[in-house]
Amino acid sequence: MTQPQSLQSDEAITPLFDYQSRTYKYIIEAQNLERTYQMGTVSVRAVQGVNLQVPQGEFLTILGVSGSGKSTLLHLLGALDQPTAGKVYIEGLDLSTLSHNQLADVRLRRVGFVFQFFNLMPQLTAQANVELPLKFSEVPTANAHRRAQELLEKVGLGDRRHHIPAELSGGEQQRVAIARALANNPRIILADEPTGNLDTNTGAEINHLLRNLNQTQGLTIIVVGHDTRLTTVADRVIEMRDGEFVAEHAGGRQVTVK
Amino acid sequence: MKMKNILFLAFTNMRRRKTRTALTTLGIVVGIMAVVSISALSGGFEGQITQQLSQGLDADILTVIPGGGLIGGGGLTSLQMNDTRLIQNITGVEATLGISQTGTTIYNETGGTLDTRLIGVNFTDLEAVYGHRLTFSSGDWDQLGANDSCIIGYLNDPIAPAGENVTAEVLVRVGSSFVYINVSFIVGGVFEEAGQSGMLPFDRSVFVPLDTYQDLFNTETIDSILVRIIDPQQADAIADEINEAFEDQVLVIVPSAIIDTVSGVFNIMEIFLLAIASIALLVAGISILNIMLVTVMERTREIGIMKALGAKDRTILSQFLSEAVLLGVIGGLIGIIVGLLLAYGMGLMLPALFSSFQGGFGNGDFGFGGGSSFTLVPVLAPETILIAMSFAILVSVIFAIYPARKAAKLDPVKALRYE
Repeated sequence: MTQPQSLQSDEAITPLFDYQSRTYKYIIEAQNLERTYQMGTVSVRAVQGVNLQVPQGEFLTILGVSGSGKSTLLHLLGALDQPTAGKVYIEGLDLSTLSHNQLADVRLRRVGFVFQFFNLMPQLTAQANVELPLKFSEVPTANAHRRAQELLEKVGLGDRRHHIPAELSGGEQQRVAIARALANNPRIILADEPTGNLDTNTGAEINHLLRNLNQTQGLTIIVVGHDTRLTTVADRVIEMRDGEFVAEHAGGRQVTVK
Repeated sequence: MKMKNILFLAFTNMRRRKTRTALTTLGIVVGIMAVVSISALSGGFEGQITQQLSQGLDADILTVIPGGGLIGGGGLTSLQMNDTRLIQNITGVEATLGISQTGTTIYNETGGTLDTRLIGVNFTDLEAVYGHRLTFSSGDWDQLGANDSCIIGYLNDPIAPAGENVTAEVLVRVGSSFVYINVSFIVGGVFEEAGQSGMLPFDRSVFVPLDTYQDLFNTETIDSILVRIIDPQQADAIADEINEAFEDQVLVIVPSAIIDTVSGVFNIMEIFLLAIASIALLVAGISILNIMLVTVMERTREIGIMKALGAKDRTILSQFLSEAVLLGVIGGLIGIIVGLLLAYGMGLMLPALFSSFQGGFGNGDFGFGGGSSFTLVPVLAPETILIAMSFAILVSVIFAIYPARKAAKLDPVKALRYE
């Protein structure tokens, strides 16, 4: 496996838990995961009985049409939503044992989210958007500034740091979002249709960037979506329908992207 | 998240919606402005009134009038000169002055007239009690021996100088009817301006010997006894002793008690006005509540993003609360400044208003210092500024708690889906 390359500013980011002391086989694991929504009198089973093991450094793509439960699953894996039944382990940590605030800390330091609609703070510059999670984790201002600058340079936006989202293209916004997801140096990136709102070429660039991060940083990446081009960069592809996994096959990792 | 960063975010959020922020702040500004200007004006007004009162009400003069006992019954109906002896025996009393007064018209030798007060006093007693503040523009105390001598109080244009004769026309009871009688006096002296002391006006009055006054009205009684005491601090104690000497059949007026009563009335009025002004603050609070609720709804998606990025509930909470604190601080500061300006403006305008009313008060003997000398300088205690500021912040924060909690408790998944 490729030796992860670290950024100089990685040292400034203190992990909440000691990674070394905890042993786990899979960086993300889900057991009999269920999520049921109550819509009035009707119960919607968005995720039903999902089992998933993701080894560290894997690029996993979960494919499914809209309503297949793939986004809900991603939210459950990222501690953004709590399952109705079943368990999620992140780096060996049982999320069901964590308090509300501890779950927020998992989102802050252990996973980074990337969304279809970028979800940047509209009033903040690219730089300030990337600094935001660093401010949540109380990284000293100077360190946060340097870290955000490095990350933006890394995603190729070193010269666009002081623009607000409205002044950036879709692809640029998504790069800012990826830089932001990396702010607190998590080992996991969870991306919800990251190319869904981009044109073909820009989408391919974003896929390439994610793949690159996966290979150079050793980041574990889970991408959900319906764009079959996602399969070309993945190590493994799982197809999801009606809240269940229906198929699994190897991704087209060998295929060179652009 | 550090306070500095929370405040910075709050500030950028407020700057995003300048008009809305300005309008929300306006509520606080108006409320604080009302509170500050009312308390500054009323503080200035109270100071002015009590100062004028204490000038007119000499602190070392007590006034004894018949009455006392139960309201509507009991008490003496009149006082006599003999009664002054009861008072003179009390330790701490320096001198006493019995007075009686009535309205009169004075004629001089050339036919000039003056509507004024005829005041009967013992001239020696008058000198003993008020000698220190009364000076003559013509004549002197020792020219006042005769039964028919009189003193003319200060007038811009004296009706008669010392040595001339004046005639006083008074209404007296003869049997069962009233008749006008003319009495002649020789002017023994004319006073310089001396203002007034309690119920005794020195200016525009004519002082005549009490014996002559009593003969004229065929009476033994006097209206009141003015008591000069050595130490104003002893006023209450001496008043008690006088009451005791008269078996509580008289009323003793203590000047400081009058000032206290007036101050008390002002304080009640101020509290009442402040209560009304607080309604403006309450309305401001409700508008903050309303606007914050709208803002939380509008920013639902951003709140979802912040939560997805790992913001804790209390970070979101303090985010909205610090916006409220900023609103309160800005609104409070502007409100205090505008309120003070308003108070100074009103302080300049109000006296002009009062002096235009003064014509209606007759001679101009009463009212505010006799004309344009009345000025109203607003007085705002530093603690009032502090209280106003804390109130502005408190109101903003209290009404922001509900929307801020609502924002903090948002479900991140639902918030992210919110369009």
